[in-house]
Amino acid sequence: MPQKELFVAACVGNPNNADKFREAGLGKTETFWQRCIGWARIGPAGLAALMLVACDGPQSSLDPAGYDARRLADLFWVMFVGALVIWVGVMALAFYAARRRDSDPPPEGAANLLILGGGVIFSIAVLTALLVYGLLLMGQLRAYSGAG
Amino acid sequence: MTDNETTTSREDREQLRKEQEDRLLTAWSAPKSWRYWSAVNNSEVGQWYTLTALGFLVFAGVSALIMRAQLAVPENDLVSPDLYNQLFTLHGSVMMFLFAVPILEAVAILLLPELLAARDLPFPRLSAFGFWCFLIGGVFVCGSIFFTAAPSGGWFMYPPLTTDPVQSGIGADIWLLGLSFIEIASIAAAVELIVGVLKFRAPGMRINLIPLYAWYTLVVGGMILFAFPPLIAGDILLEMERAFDWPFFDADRGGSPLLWQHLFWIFGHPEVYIIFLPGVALMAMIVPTFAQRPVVGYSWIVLAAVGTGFLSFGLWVHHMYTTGLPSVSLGFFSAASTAVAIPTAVQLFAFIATVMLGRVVRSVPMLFAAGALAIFVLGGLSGVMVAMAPFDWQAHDTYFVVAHLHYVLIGGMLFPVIAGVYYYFPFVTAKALSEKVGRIGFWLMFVGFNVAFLPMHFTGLRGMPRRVYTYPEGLGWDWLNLISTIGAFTLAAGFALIVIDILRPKGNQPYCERNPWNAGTLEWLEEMPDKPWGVRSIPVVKHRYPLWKDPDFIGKVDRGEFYLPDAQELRRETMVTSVLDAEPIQCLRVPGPSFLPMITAGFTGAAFIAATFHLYWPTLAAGILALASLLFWLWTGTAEIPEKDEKDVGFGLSLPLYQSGPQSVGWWAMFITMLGDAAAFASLIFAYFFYWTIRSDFPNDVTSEGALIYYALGVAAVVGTWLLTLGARYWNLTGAVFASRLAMVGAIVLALLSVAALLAGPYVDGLDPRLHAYPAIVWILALWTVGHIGIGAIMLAYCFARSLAGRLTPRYDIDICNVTLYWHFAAITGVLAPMLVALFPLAA
Ligand code: HEM
Repeated sequence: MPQKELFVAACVGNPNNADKFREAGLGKTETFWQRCIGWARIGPAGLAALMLVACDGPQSSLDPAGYDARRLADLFWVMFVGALVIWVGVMALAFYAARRRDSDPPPEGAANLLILGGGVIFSIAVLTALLVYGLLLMGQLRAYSGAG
Repeated sequence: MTDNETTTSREDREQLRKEQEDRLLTAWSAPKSWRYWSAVNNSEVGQWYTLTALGFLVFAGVSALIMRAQLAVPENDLVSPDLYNQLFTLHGSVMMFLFAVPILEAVAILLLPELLAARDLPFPRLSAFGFWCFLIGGVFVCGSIFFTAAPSGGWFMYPPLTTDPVQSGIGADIWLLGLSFIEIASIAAAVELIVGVLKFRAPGMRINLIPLYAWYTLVVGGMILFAFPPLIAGDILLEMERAFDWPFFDADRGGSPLLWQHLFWIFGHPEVYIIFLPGVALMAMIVPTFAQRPVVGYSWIVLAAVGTGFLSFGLWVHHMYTTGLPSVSLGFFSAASTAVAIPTAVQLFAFIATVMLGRVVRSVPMLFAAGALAIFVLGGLSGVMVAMAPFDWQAHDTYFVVAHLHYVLIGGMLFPVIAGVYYYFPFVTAKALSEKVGRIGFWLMFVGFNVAFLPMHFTGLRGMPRRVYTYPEGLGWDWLNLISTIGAFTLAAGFALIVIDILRPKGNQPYCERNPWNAGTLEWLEEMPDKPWGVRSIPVVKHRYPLWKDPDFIGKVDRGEFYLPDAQELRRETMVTSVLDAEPIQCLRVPGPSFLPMITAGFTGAAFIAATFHLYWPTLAAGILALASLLFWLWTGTAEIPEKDEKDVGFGLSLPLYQSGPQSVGWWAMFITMLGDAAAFASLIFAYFFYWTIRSDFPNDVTSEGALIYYALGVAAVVGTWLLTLGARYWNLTGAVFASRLAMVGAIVLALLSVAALLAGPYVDGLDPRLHAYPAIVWILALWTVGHIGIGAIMLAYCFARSLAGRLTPRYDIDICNVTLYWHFAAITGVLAPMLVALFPLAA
């Protein structure tokens, strides 16, 4: 697992880690933006690696050994990525709203659109899709294990 | 000449204003020295309530820290397994019942009158009674841990663990009786707040102008009214099983432990929204103020709040996904659980939109509001995850759920409450909290919270169950737990800083200027420091943000240019308006300080506490004393006959001082209380049918002919009582006072006969409630019914005495109107329950 190694190297004092850091653009002399770009390059890999490290373990539901568990782990990962994206989106929106400094505010119509689009249409769409996936999965699992 | 005239008239006006203020002050001042504790005004009671609830937060927080210290490393032995059980049970129960719900009622008691420009709540003594119940019950429940006698079955107290006397000890009784007592206080506060929002709004404040906070209070009050009764019904059944061995939850004798889960979660899930919506309500006040513009999407928000309220009653089964229910139920409740995310999203997007259209003023309350958003959204998303039944099969009862619930509760409630504390601190004390401490506190809390609870998602996914006092090494939980503990202590440090800032003496700090945040809503009319009368004169409201709309609004209110600027008779007075359009209909005199609420609460508490220790004679004695003090309180303090019919409230408007029937606040309070009572009755009926759906041996007996006759007699007597009560009201109104009194006596006699007949029914059938759940539920329904009839008989006797004493007359008939209303509901109970009990076994 190369990501895992990279992450471990970055964190746990591998003799090469200074090089790896520099490769990834994380030196002292870089500007702020260069450093951001560097983190952006190493970040997702690191995060993914962290996730993988965090997933194993004898009782872990993310280290599946059976059919049901595998399907459920898939469900989890789908929801996890979805949740992350939505959370980042909402936070970004809130930040934009709070930091907005241009002189005239957006029209009231835009605000209503936001409430309708974000609160109603977007959430109904996402939730319906998820519900269909989840319920189908439930049917399959129950049929497979002979319950229900 | 003209100059001279204006000067004198100005002087006159000043003089008049001064005199008015003196009179208002005499009427509204809080009592001094030891009598201070007899205060009933919403500002005093609201402050006590808030501080007490914060005290319980600290208590529950400390128990959480002890748990986190215990879990920091594997195989730790800081606390014993049993103490750990007590700690998490108390932590959860205290947080939910003694902090989260009460703090929001407390804040509402504090804010609501000022927000609606009323001078007090409709029933000040009832709020005081609720507060004293809360204090007594809370101290009793929390104190138990110092005797290692605290409940230890988890905050949802599942049987059969909690019905096993050896496993659970006295702790479960303390939980059941101590908390039921507090739930009753919560319902009382809810009734008070609902009537407040419906009837105490400033003239002109039509329903589309109600401040959002008040809307939320209305929704939450309604939810409390329908959510708490199922729990109280469940508490009664569980306590009957524990104390008298009636097998409601015992599968061997016809019962079912699942019934408890249903009753608990029919309460428990709305409870989560009862906690969360008031948090949103605070945000709905804070966000527009700091965006310096009216909230965007007012109607969307109201609709969403009401929608959340309704939906939240259809989700409870998602706490029971692993109990083996059929797939259809799981699918339905999965869908309902995800659906509730929609109105929640609407509310949050409306706030973001408000911020977007406004120009944000940075402040500590806004910082906490932003933190709340970040935390709550994550909690909501992990909530959608566990709403998927198949995923919940994995996550159920693991630390994933612990993480999820804390994200929701801390983001949805704790952070908004702290935002509210910063925002409203000047409102309560006229002094500001430190901005700097607030920022440091915020960052410690925010970072600490995430460090503590984010890893718990993974601890849970890696298989760590909740409610374990320790864990072995090497399962991959060690580091995660240590990090969580460090985070928890960081969070606590931030919170401690804020508490210190709240408690620090602020003697030489200057008062805030008036309306310090430049808000637009009525509560900021208040002077700094506050005057005891609340608002100087009761304004006419035509706008959602009157203080922004009219720059001289504060001036007009202060100069007494609106209604009721005076208290000529030195009485506490405020205005009652109509439900929809807020047209003035009455000038209501609200009662002043009294020790009676405290005394009544003391006796009621004593009755509950004695019952916990199975001391039934002291229970009975305390119960009788409580009833006596209650009756004395009602007799001396309510339905007072005014010295004149009408009073001039200003603007040439004259309003009656006495109203009865649907015009009066008392009628509404009775109506709302009885809705809650009906919800409890419906829960018992639900239990009856629940047994029938899942057990083939239910009912295990048929009603005999002899019993049928008794039931029929009982029902006939109930109907007779009801008719005579109607007659008593009618004859009283038409001046036939003697006939009215006769009808009351007749009604009482019939009521007593119906009690005897309805008890004779199950008795002649020889039903033994200890043998099987069927006789047990029949007896519970019978006792519930005769209990209501008995209370109704006491009420009729009260009316009879009032009539003899000349306090109930054809013109002044509140008492009999309210008692008739009670009897409408009691009669429904008294007809339905016996019919069900008598006839259903024959049909089934
Ligand atoms: C101050 C920070 C808090 C910390 C460090 C904390 C920590 C904990 C811990 C360690 C548990 C027990 C987990 C287990 O053994 O299963 C727990 C359970 C719980 N907490 Fe908290 N908590 C905090 C705040 C809150 C708040 C503000 C609320 C609600 C308003 C709350 C409600 C609950 C509930 C309902 C439970 C479940 C109790 C049970 O399993 O019966 N907590 N918390």
